[in-house]
Amino acid sequence: MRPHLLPALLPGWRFFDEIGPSPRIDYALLPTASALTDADWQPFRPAPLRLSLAALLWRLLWNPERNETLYVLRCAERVLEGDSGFPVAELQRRIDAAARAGLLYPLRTAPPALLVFRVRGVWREDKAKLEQVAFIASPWVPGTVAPG
Amino acid sequence: MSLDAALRLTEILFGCALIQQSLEHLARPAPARALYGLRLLLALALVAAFQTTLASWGLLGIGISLLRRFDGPYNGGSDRMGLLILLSLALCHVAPTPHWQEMALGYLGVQLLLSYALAGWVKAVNRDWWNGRALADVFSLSIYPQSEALRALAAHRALMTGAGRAVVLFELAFPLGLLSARLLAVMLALAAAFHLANALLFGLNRFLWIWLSAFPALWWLQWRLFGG
Repeated sequence: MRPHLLPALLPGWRFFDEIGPSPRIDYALLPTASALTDADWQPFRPAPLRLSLAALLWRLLWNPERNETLYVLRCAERVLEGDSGFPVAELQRRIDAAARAGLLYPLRTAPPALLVFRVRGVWREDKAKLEQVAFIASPWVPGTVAPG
Repeated sequence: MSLDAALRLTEILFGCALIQQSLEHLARPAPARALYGLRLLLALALVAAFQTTLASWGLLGIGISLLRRFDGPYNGGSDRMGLLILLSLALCHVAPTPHWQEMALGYLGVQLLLSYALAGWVKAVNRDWWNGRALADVFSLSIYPQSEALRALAAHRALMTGAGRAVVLFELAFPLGLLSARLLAVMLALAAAFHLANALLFGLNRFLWIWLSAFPALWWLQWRLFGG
């Protein structure tokens, strides 16, 4: 088994010791692979603009989508850290599943030829907010990624 | 609080937290649904005090399987604390003597204490936690705010500075709670409020319920070491 158990049983508890680059995930629908340079990137699982107090309180008990989003963003954070193995495959699985569920484009229309995602890092230097694209996946045909 | 009472309370609180988590997973088209279904049943057994040895070891096995499935914890620290609680419960149930039961539950109490003290220390040595920049970055840049509107809080510099300092001082001071039951009650109440705020602002609801379920272990440890 990969070395996950020991850190789980002997945690470092270094919550927010420093605020590093924060990940953002975007996806794009492409007619062809060559259209990547002009891709219309859309945020994947963006946070809602506002939430009422009642919604925030309800989310104390029931917050499945948010917890899934945190997991997906943790995968993106690992991509920012240079891990191109499991987290990239997991992000592709989750984004493909979202496409199959009709969350990225209407299912009644003809599906796009290709789907692609990228991971950006956002951070602060002095007072300036900076960002950089850290990873762009290889485009794939939507609906063809096996669920995990 | 007796060892048995602390164990039982931990089982009930932790079982409820796992039931909540499992239902969230089962409501989504997530992978590993069979594991979450089994985890729900075992968590119900833990709450109902039915076959608790089997339930705690079964839940520990599922926790390890989920670590493998997601290549690490699904929800970071809350999963890590959950595994620690499970390990303590599982070991308590097979410990040959009360002494070893105390060691198992004591380990959980110590880890709970460290989860605040170490988190406070790593913040205390970072200047940005004292001048408000770190907390402002959490609100303005990080993935955590539950809504975009909450990011506006980052602009309130005095609030960010005050809240950042309060978090550092609270986490550093938390171990003082060991000195008396009354002080520990205050620290645990502050900790619960801290987790509640994190859950409301950042959507970390699993942290809230999992950390609350570890509180009885520390309450018992304080009584065991200092007599209340």
